[in-house]
Amino acid sequence: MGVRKWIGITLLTLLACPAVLHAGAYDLREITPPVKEAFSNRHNRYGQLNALKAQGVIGETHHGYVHMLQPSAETKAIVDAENRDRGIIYRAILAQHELGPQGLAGVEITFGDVQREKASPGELVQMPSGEWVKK
Amino acid sequence: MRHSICFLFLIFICAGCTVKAVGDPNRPITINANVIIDIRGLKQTASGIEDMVAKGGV
Repeated sequence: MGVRKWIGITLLTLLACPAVLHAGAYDLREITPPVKEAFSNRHNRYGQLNALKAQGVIGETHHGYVHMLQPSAETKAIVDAENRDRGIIYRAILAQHELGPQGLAGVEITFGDVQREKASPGELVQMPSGEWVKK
Repeated sequence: MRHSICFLFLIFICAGCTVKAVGDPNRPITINANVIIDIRGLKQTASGIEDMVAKGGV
């Protein structure tokens, strides 16, 4: 009987905490117009970004953004636009999963890990220590 | 033993909640407790999103 009571309390608490119920699945639940635009922009500049990465002009930081390693005005415009669009997607994940502003660093670092893993050989990536290495 | 497990489970769940306390209606106080992030789940999401960016289409 006591165990049943505790199971009942646990289930009720789970129902009262939807944010926890969805922990573990952070896919975007809703593609809002700004998120859709961010995806579209990122896809459109994907080839250009990869070319700059292959040339060593830009690299992936450990916290999920691109960084200009050989400065130029044209590259800066591309890097700024890409980072702005990434930020829109990161903040959408935070908002839709109620992770709060303190969750941003976790999302950024996780995307940084994934970008490092997906980087092609020869591209420059930043390690968690801050050091830039050629993959 | 089962009671202990249930109790620990409850603590774990409550740790991820946001608690809103309102004293003065004009000055609501929001207390954000610890946020638990499942890094493995987040990594899967991140990987899926980057694949989507590469292939196009949302």
